[in-house]
Amino acid sequence: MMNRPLKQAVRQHFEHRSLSTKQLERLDALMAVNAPRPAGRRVIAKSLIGWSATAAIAALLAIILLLPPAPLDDVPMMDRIAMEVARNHVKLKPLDVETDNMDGIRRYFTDLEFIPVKSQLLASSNLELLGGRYCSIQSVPAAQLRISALDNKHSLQTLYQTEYRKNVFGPLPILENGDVPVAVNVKGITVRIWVEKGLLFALTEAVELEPPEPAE
Amino acid sequence: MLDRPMLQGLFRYGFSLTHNEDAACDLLQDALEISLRKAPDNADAAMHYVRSIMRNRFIDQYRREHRHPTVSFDDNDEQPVIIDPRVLEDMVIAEHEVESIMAMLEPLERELLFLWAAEGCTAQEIAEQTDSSRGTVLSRIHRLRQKILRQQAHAGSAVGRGAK
Repeated sequence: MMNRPLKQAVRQHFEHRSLSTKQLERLDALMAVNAPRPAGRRVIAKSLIGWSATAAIAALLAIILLLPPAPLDDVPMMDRIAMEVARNHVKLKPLDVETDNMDGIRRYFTDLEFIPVKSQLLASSNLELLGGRYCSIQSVPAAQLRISALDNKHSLQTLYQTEYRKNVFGPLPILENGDVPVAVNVKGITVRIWVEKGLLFALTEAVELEPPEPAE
Repeated sequence: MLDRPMLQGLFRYGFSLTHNEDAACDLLQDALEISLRKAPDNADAAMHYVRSIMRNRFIDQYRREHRHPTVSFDDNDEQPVIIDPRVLEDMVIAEHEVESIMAMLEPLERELLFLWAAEGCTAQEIAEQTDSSRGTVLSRIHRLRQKILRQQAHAGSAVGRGAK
């Protein structure tokens, strides 16, 4: 029986796997189709329209190019978060776990890089926790909790929690700094977004929020 | 634009997650479709970006398919254990064991092995690539070693115990 260092054995295990020529050709073709347009084409396209319009577009491009390169598109991050939350809220997908308490939530969500917590803003709201499911916001793993707002005809609402990564989400109101949640209206739903205890919270409308405690 | 060696690297990364060649190819293709229009121009950055998409997409799919996961990493980053990141370096396995070990590991454990063995990443680099803390990675390494040793003991193997 031949023994080998684990590292070498694992490396060879992976090196033995490779895409076939056919698969590579397919991926090459996919990349060619999806590749971003080269800048030259844009210039040619612009030359086809009037000079003033070209100048305006060039000025706009110049402004865009001078901006920091972080965002993937020009939709503000808060709007993108709100759109994602609203879209998932409307779907009301089945819950992965049904529980009426945070201990049950914490026991279930063990694959997250954070521990779901209660928000002080919701501490005295008349809410009933129904359960949760794994999801993500802007590709960051998140807990999607479903709650029933007892004071509002038992309407179902969604509360997202995820690790607040400033490099992903950008600046958001932080409760501990005395900030108040920002409200974004999208798809007929108001989504309130804030950061608390190092977590990003996003809550759909119909829950009365408690005023935040003054910052120390 | 990613060249073919990069595509092969991404495919192997996908294989580390899926443990299935067809699924790895599908995962890579899906990630390319999603990410290419937004991927950075720099090839290395684009590869990193596509890999992130693959990882997030796989985790989403995995969680959907395993609505009640039986195994978690139970990351307790703050546990006060001192773990030598080199504990895996000393391990030895029998040639025929590698397949059975890879088959019994969870996807993120295989990912860790891939990054460590095939990519030559340090614990810190693995932490950066998996959005984890270094402590979490060290804990995973520790648990991974225990798991492999248990598997070897279960299989009646005498090797691997020479490890530190």
